[in-house]
Amino acid sequence: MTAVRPVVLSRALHPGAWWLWALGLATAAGRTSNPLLLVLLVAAAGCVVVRRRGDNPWALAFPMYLALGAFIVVSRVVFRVVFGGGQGDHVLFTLPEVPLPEWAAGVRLFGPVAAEQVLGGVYDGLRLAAMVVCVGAANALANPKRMLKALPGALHEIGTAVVVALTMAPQLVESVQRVRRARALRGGRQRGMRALRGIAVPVLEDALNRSLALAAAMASHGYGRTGTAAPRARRVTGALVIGGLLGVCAGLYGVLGSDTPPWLGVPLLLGGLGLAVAGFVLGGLRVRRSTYRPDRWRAAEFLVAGSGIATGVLLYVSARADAAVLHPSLSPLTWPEAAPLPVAAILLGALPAWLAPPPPVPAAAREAVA
Amino acid sequence: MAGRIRALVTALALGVAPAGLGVVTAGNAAAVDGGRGMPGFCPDDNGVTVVVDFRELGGSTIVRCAPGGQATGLKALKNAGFRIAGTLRWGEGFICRIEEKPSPRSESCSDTPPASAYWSYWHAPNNGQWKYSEWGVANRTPPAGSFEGWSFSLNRGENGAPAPRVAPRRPSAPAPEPPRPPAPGSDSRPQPRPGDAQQPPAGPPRGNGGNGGGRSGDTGPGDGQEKPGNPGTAGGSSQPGAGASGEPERPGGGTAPSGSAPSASAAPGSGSSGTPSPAAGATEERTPGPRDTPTEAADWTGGDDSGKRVSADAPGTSSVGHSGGSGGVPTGTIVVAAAAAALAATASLTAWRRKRAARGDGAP
Repeated sequence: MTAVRPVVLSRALHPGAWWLWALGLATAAGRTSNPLLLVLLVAAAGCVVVRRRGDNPWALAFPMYLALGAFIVVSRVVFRVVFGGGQGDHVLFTLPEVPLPEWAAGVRLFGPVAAEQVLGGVYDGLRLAAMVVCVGAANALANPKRMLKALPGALHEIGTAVVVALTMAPQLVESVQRVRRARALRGGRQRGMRALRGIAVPVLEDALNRSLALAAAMASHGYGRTGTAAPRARRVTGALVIGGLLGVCAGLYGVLGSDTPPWLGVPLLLGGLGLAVAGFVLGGLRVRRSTYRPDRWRAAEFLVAGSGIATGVLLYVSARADAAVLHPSLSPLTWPEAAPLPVAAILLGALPAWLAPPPPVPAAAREAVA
Repeated sequence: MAGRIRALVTALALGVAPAGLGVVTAGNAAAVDGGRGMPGFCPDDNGVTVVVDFRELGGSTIVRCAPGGQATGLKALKNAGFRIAGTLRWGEGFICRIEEKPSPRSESCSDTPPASAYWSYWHAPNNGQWKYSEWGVANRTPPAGSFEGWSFSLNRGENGAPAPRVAPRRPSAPAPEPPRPPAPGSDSRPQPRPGDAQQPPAGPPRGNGGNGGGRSGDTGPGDGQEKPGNPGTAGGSSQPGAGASGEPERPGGGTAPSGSAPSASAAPGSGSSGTPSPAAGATEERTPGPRDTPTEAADWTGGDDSGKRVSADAPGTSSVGHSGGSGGVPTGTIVVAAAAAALAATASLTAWRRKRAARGDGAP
């Protein structure tokens, strides 16, 4: 391997940039059912992940998301085959139809399986799978702990709780391994359910002890203090935030529903957002935190987030201009075609694989990536 | 990881494979479709008559016959020769497009169309009333000789879907295919539609053709139902008021039809199949017989896109001109598939190298 030293210093990108990139790609995936474009999109996301992920535990979860995507596609196809009999003209094979009683007349089991049915399931499943893979890519690339640092100050109690929870999961796994090793050393031979009791009790006890220790440590470092804010100020802040979020929920319902009166939609949504932001700002004023090693938002972050967002926007635009390409016809069956604009948009989304700074990983892995 | 990714790539490739298969058949399919069904009402009760009313989508109404017994409403629709598209999410269990309408630009058909713009599904016995179907299109078996109706409902609320504007009434005098007398249709309109032919009895003199045209004007929702007369059958010329009043002579049918004709008949789109459209208009039922030539005259004057199918009116074949032919795989498709494969290969290779590098690190 020729060790081409990257010109850009390796560093971890701001997690927000990866999330914006991934959400842009997921938006793009949601706008099309063209399998060509969706496969291209998944390949692009996978390429970026493979080249720019770190070596942390969460970075290794991407194959799980791929497997989940495959499961989604397969289950959609199976669903179509079981319940969608009798559609389509190009029958691939015929399954015996299960006769159902009169009261189940709206349901039909098996029957002829047509290419249209199977392809319809594939197209539909691929779209959801592509969105899942995009979210998986963000999970693999963005460091969730650093993401929490970007939380608004008003939410720092929640953030603390989430950090504790995130830290607990790996600790629990480690705890299980330790207990099992100890049992093995003592010659414990039970397996299955009987072994469970022998493992669960020590692990839970261990977790409880650690939680207490962690709580004590955090209290001694000043976490959980309510600060100098008066109770009344805290109540106002809480009311603003909760009222604002309720307004956002109702506003979203108004925007998405077709029968809701217009005043219930956008005005309520904006009003709720305004209230919630005011609450966050007010609440943030009373929390003073210092940040250790802040994540800076630099050119590379703009590039990564921009490429993802550009993909989403371009696909949205091409949905306006040429919808037929984004939704290939199944009857009559036609080859899915690809127009230059959506293809270029998706390739744009793959750029971070080469343009983003490489992740801080061991030298050997860096060589593999370079 | 590399292994898994490779497996995934394979899976994707497999997923795409069926598409190819489908494509191959597409050509044939198109050809077959063209020959499906026949224009106009079914001559007797061996067959299901399918009425499609485009309403606001332009193009007026189309009446075609799916001969023989039909297992489901979906089969009837297809066997009558209509091109349809289901939704991505539900497949053909939910009809989203008929004859390319609404266009992909306004309706992506990826999910169930909204209640404010969808194809409503109706059925009726012969000489009966249209009834909004409580069954899904793939779950209802239309009785022989009955009518299946499709009417586009635009901004009409949940219970306001309009019935098709063609009365469910077969021309009572089913003359098989009498040569139409004057063959007027042919000249004026390219489409002779056989359908018309079927109801020859009434003499050409009958103006009914005309009346068909008459009503054209009203698109009023729902009018369809009440009015029994369908052009073809019922000569209904009676209504002076309405449209054609004046001319009994089949405006629609004969000459006028060609697009220009002011008369309602112009309905371009529908043209192909013998559309009875005027029918709606024709309130009174005239006796059967009349020639439905006018049928085409759809009520829908405005049909903008008369479009594609017009030309073909010829009986079966053309009516719904399916553009078929798909030659092989489009070049663009191959290029993009290759690009996707290249990206996936790059990813797999990198994953494999990383994995090997990691193992190398650990080994020592």
